[in-house]
Amino acid sequence: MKNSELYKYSKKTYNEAILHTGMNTAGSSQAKFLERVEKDKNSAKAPAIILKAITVLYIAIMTLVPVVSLLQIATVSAAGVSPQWVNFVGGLSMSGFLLFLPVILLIFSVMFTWGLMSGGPYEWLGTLPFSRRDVQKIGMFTFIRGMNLQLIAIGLLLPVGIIIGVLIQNNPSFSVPTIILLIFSSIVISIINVIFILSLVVIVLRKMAILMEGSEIGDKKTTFFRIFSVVVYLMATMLMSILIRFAMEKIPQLYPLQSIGDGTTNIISIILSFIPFPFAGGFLLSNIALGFESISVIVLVGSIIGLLLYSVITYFMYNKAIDMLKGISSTEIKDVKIKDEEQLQNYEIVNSSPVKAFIRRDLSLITREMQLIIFMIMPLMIPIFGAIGTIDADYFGTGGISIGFIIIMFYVALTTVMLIMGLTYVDAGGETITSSLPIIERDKFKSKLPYFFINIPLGLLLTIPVMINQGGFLDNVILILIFLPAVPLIGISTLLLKVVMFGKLRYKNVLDEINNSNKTVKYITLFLFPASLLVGLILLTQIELYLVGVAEAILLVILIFVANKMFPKADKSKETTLTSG
Amino acid sequence: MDDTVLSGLAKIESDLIMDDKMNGKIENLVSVKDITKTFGPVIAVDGLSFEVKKGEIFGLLGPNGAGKTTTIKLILGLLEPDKGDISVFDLHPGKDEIKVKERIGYVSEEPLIFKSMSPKQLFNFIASIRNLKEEETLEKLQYYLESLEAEEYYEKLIATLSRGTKQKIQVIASLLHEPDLLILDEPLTGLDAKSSKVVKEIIELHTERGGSVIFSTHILEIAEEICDRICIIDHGKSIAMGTVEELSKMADKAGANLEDIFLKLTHEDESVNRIISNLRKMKRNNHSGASK
Repeated sequence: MKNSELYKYSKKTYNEAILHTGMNTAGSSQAKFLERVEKDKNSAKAPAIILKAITVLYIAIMTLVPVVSLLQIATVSAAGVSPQWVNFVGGLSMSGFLLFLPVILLIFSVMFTWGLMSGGPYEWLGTLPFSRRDVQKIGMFTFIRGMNLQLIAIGLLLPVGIIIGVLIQNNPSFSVPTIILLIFSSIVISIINVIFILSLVVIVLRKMAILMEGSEIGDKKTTFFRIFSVVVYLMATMLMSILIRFAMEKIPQLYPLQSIGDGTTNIISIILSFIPFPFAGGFLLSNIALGFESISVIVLVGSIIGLLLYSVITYFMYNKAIDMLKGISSTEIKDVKIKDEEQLQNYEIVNSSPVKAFIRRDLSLITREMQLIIFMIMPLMIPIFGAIGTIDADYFGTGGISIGFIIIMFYVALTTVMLIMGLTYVDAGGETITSSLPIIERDKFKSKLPYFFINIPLGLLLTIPVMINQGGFLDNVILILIFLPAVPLIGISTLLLKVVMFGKLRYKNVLDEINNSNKTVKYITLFLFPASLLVGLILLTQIELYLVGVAEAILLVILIFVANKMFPKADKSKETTLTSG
Repeated sequence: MDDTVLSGLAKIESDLIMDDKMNGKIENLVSVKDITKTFGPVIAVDGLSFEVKKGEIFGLLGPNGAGKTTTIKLILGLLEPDKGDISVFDLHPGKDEIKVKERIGYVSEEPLIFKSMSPKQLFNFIASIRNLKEEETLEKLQYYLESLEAEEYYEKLIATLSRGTKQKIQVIASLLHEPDLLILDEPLTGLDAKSSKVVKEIIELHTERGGSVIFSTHILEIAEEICDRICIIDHGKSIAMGTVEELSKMADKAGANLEDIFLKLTHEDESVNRIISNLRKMKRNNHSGASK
């Protein structure tokens, strides 16, 4: 079959893979997801499109690094800074940019694009009159469809950036041959980069897909992998702007500040230029940008050899990627899994308390669903980023409470709501199964409590190391310790408020969202409630610190009373026994 | 040689084979000789041999995990045997995969069809891949959709359909190109009684037209009802093969139903009796415990 036809068919597999990924991500709310897709078929593609746009945006922003480097190389060279040093810093910055490209693509692909590499969408194709080679090609085309904008960005932005850099520069030291050579080299490097990165991402994601498909509930390796990928994703998205800002600020400052001797920098540059990725390309561009008079011939030869090696490696990587797609329609992995399962006969029944059973079920679901992992991890991470952002913040009020601490508390209120959303989301699916069981709502409620005593306080404690270098560190630590008992109590109060707003029935209260009217207003209230309580406590610190402790004690008493009222103990006396005869 | 010439040659070859079939030159549409397939240390199919004749409904019968689906995947060319030979229409399913798959209709136990499409889009996709004539296909499609009462789902997203409806769509998708060989892996799973009856009738009509069917199931009553010959598989091995009468003779159980024959041939009859007696014993003990 012609490649153009196969490319056309890959649209179907792409749609199938997007649906497959969407269903996996939706987890227990698959029914809602499908309902949405039924109404608007394109809604399933929305996350993939957003992801493409974000990735392209980051790549575009990071392209400023080679542009800035180019400007700096010419400027500092003219100012008399040693060409060895300029080449060294320029080579490292350009290489940093080249290294960033596959990293960003992998980070932003891991969570959403691995579905493109899973066998599911291709299994049926294997039964139709397609050759294996055709299915393999469809697999590759499907992946290219999923990554098209990102790959175009990788291919185009570096040459475009170089052209813009040269144009802005308008420096007479850039001769026409230098400019042509620079643009030509950037095009060659970009072409190799696109194939290398495409192959690398295909290999990694295919391996991931095999791992995910072959995984079982409770499989520790897969669970760890899921959590790890979510943490990396969240950290990367949050740290990306900091990293870009850092690169933009610090790289230009490095050029005029020579800290190592010419001889040493030259040796390091030569060694690095031979390393195919990412240094060969980086040092080639940097070296050419120096101009023909200052160019280092050894570094040039080294980077050309490095680039040739890079091409050879890319060729092998591409073949390896195609090889990995060979088994995409094969069902061998699943078959092996099924056969292996037959070998295991490890039966066990563990009878624990209903609360423990709910905790186990929640943990099992949480570690399997990306959305739930995010809800659970956010309370640990967001306050840290709040703390990072509060460096050099001012003080508030006469008692001198730092603005930084107030911002952290704002984030705590936010993460409290997120945690509650996650905890109640766990119960969104499987109602048909659980509603047939004799569940006591109190047990379900109790099973949610440990998260309030672990996730939120831990998130708060984790801000301490971040604030070490900030002014008023000790004051902040004391405040955090004082507020530590309050945050879980406020979290539980907010959960109870959610039950009142969403789950109030005539004879009982439930954690599920039954009354869904005015959802937006209710969620705004849910955020404002813990925020107001925290503001109240912060204001108390302005009077006397011990008052916070008193307020916490009062809150605890009220909480115990209200919780017992809302979720009473089961009345054992009403239990009936079935007697025969 | 360009694709048009190649596909033309394939068509001529296919027609010739079809002519041979009609003249009775090719008696066996499928020939499986001593095939073995292992997955790591596990032997899924172990020295299996059988033939499927023209116009025959051949049943692959066995308990869950016996190796039925693996055998089907081997016939389809989705897996390759470690040992032994398979020929389908006198072709090698691995080497001549496209020619083989052009003439096969496959229904899997779990619907594999694209779920991101509506049935309408799916049938159009199949018509494009299999190069089907629009008018003829539309006529068949209407007939099958009406027969299986699936018209109302024609434009719905397949992912949102019930298991049974997905199975109906899959069955229709496998029939549109009038395959010479239908491979059905538990095709009645999820279907209601009426649809099951219709599907069974479709299978009968398919064989009357000269087509063959490989019908994999673990439900003995269905195998007994529709299969001309049955191969009983257990642990990847063929335990017995023949018509229900032949199998009953082998089991020395003249007039017995397939369930008894199956249990006898797989040497599971004594084990089943023991399990039943234990269950009764346990039930009795529970009752006496409760009354105390």
